[in-house]
Amino acid sequence: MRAVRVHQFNLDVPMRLEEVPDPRPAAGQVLIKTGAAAINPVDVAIRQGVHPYAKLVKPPYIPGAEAAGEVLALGPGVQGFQVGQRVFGRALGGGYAGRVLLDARGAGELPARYSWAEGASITVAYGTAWNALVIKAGAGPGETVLIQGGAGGVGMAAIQLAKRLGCRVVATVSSREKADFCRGLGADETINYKAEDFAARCMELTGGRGVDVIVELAACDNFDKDLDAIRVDGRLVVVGTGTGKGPKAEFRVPGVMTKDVRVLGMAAVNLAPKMPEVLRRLGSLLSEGALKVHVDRQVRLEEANEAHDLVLSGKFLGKVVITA
Amino acid sequence: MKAVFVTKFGLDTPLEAGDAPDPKPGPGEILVRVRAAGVNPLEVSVRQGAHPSAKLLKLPYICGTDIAGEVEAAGEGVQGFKKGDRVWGRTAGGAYAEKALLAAAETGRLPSAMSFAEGASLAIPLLTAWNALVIKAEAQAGDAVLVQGGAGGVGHMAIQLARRMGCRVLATASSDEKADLCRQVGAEAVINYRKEDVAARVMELTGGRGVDVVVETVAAENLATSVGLTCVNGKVIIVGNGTGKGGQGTFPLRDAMGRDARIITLASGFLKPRLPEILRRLDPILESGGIRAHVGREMPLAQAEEAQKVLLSGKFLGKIVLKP
Repeated sequence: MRAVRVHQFNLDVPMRLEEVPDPRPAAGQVLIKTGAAAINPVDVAIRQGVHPYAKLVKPPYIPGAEAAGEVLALGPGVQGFQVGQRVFGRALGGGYAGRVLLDARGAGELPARYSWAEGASITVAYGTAWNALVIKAGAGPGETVLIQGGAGGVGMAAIQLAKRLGCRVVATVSSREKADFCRGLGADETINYKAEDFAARCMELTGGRGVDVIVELAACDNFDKDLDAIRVDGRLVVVGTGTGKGPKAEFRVPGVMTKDVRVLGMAAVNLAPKMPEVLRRLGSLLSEGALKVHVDRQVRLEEANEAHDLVLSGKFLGKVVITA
Repeated sequence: MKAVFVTKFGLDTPLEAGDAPDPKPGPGEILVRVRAAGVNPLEVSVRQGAHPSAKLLKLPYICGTDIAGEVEAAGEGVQGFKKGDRVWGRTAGGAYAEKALLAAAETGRLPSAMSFAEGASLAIPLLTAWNALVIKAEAQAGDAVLVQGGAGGVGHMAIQLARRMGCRVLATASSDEKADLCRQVGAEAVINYRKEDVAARVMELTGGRGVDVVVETVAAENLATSVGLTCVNGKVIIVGNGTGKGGQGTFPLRDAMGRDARIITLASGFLKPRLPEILRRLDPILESGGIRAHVGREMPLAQAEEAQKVLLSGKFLGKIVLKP
């Protein structure tokens, strides 16, 4: 099969499109003919070598954490899937390739209404948004949720999911175009963080109380100020450090001591065992068509390097996908 | 009455002894003849002017919050307290004085087996330990709890409370003498953080898993590393900044994310509505001698300035108490 591979942990060294052997599904795995694979910021961070997950791969490796396609074969003992079925899910061993192995526990049937590109974009965005809002924050109706970075993949999912949970949604963005995008997804308010003080705006929007929940996708930049924007007993979910950033943030210690705040970390590896349950519950929303996936750009395997540059630049709305 | 005042914010201006009119109990309040006042990091931080509650105080004010003594008079509507009753609690009007007011609903009864000095060592230390372990961490039997700074006021209470809850308790301390106190009050293992690698020891003592809960009393210094001492889904409860320390801390985003950690802060002010319930539950524990305060130094009220210097030096065990 054709596959894009990273040969060095270094963004200056381009990824290469190569011919490699088709993978074979082991126990617990499903082999698919790739319809599309999503490109996520974490792929770029791993390729930089700065992300902890870089320890889990060794160059040359195929990047990509999720894909959608048609089932070609099932590993031993895998149940609940059939050859020819349309599926989406978490990729094992890379997604930017003609054939992809999915983790059977982290895969589900793709309703007909979703294209391959949309299907490839569900797992990371909605799995992460679910983890942040439902599992970690326990966000409930009537609460105000601030989504820091509303126009990316997880932001896109979190805005829609928070609205489904009955929350009021405030999203931060860096441009008017992104603000329009977030409002189109259901955000009640948007804040252009380049033009406005987001913490002051949050206070204003909540009558001086602060927001109940923050879904933080760029913690390195925002963490300290999040503590000003959040209410007493608020939940601050650290979903991401910001593409290519990390691993720490500075904060004012006295600022944190005056509020009973919960800072909640989360990682995809720890969500993996819970994915069957998450997918079952997400599945009902997906089959209703309640959750939209906005695919901004669709590129071919030949354009993987340009696509990484695009993701790193942040100049896209929702998702960027790659097709074999 | 005699009292000790803060006349100017900042530790350069010494505390000043003076006279103040006797306070008068309003509705729901009791007037207490103070037999002992606890010395806590909180009042030092307020006196420095950095603490947010400093804004609420008008100079000069009487320093301190924690007292134990005898009821002298009860205000309108107070039930269940009579002249001569031995009580402990937290006063809003200043503790370094011969008399102080307590809200009756937030006043604890001092068991006859406990000295006034012990009683003055309860309010902030024990209630903070309760807030951290029972309310915020919801620690359970069998949990491994690490108490950072186990020989201090909050620390030695947290060790005892965690033991009462069926937890396994590890503690850190800076000297052999402090380690002995930690062990005396129930710590199974004590790590001397000046001599030993805390992370390595914690992992060794927990079979590489990490602890379920860290009670962090020195957040400014420790937070960057203490998140890394927890297991997946572990909790770090920030109860203190470190006496006299302030300013910036480093928040380890990746450590928090990688282990789905929960970092929870608390401020004593928000405990107020829950105090009657907490006191009801603490009462039988104190009555049975299940938790005792270790009073390392007793000093006359006139030496308040020196007492706070001892507190800042860290050269004491358990609590420092002033006697009017």
